[in-house]
Amino acid sequence: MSKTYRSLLGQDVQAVVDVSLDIAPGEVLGIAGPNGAGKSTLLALLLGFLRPTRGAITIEGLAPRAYVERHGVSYLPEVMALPVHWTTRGALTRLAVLAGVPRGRVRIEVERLMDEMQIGEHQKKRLRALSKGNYQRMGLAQALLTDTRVVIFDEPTNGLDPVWTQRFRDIVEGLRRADRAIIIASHNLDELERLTDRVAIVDKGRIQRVVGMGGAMGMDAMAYLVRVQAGVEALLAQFPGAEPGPNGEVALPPVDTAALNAGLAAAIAAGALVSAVIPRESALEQAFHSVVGGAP
Amino acid sequence: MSRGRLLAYLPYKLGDYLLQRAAVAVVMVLLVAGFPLYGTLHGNPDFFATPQGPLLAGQLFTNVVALFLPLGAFLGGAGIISTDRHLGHVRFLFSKPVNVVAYYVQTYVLHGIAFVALFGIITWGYGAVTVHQPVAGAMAAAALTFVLVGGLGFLLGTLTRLDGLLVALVYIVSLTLQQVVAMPGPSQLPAWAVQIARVLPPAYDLDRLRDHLYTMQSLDTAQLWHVLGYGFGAFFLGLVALRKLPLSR
Repeated sequence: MSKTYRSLLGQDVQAVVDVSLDIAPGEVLGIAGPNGAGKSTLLALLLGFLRPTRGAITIEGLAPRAYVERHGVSYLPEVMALPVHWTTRGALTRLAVLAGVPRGRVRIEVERLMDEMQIGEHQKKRLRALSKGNYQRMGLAQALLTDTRVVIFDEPTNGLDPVWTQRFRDIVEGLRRADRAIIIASHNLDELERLTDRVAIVDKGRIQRVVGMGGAMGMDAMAYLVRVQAGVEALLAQFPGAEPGPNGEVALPPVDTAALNAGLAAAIAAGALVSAVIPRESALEQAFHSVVGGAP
Repeated sequence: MSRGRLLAYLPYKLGDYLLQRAAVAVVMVLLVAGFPLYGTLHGNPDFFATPQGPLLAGQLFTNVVALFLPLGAFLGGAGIISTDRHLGHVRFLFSKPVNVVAYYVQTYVLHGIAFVALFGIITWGYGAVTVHQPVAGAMAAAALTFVLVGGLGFLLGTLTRLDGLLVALVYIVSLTLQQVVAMPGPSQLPAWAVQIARVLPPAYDLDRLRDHLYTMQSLDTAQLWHVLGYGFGAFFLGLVALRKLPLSR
């Protein structure tokens, strides 16, 4: 599936190019990529806000717009854009009505989500008066108004403090269900690594690589930092290219898991006393940098 | 299902319409009609019972109609879709299980009914303070204006973010050109301008129909069909565009 924008001057801009991806029920899929990589366009296509120029998208056999109009999707957009004169409670109530929360339960659901997101004290505030973090939590609340089988979060921890970033992780874990697909687009690789089963790395409109977060992690060569209490020389002897640092730290060059274990075993046998082995980059960070280059 | 949700959402839309759109038109009317009325009645509370009363009341009402109807229909019909798109509200509204076309048809129809009812109330209120005005005729004139101006606004709102500006521009250009074309005697305009005036929205026909409606005269059927056809045609084209074109562009 591809999406090309055509400017008024007739110039083509390829926003999404030949993307092919299946998302299974029960899966949490991450989408990572630098700014302008095509993440938001991909989500807009998934929600039926845009139509592909070539190819097709289906959700449970339906075109995205038909699916959303029939079942709804729990969606938190990257940019919170609701009429700013609405109050927190008013916005949630309106969106609950549209989402199809039964009339008798609207108030109860709104109260429940305001409590869960701890925005009850701001319920009478206009949206324009909310802090970024509270507005984001309100956005999260509206996404969770109904029980849907497709959940899409676009940069969900934007503006959230560390406490709420952690709570968001708990929310996603709570949302995991065998018949539900969850998609999270984020710049935050650490967040994706903790929350998702797979991460599609998008750059220049293409899915450059899909990285599994479970058993596949650690299969590639990774760079490590090893902390030793004694025997730095034994460690250096086993890992050509390793560089000693302060406080007994040794920066290893990229090695695969088998070579790491073999080298460590040999160093320990030769007298090294290892106290910690820390990946200098996660598998996802490494994959991301190898695809995109530079910092995420 | 979607219908039930939309019906439940109706009161919110009505509130938005009254507070954000109708209020602007009503304030304009109060400014245009309120001050002269106050000045007249303050000096002579029985003025409208005098022989000159009905004449002044009629003239003032004509001014109110000329201002409120196009402005009110413009505020009711333009910016419905383009504003939601431009400000990104569509992302929240239409991730919910809501049919996009039904949502906007409901909004258009609601704005139209509310606009006509509001103008009926204004006409009745004005008549109560001055001299009786034909409420039914005034409401019919409002409905006709909404069909044309609102329909045009609906269509342009599905195609562009500049629908407000374009509706105002097209309406003013149409009215001006068609008034010149309708002048008695040899045409003041080149042939191509006359042709353009013919294909533009029938603003001048609408103007004449309105005059006939609120003075309770019989209508020219051809003019009536022209206005209704153009307005509903634009509205249905807007529906097609809404269904066929993506929500974000």
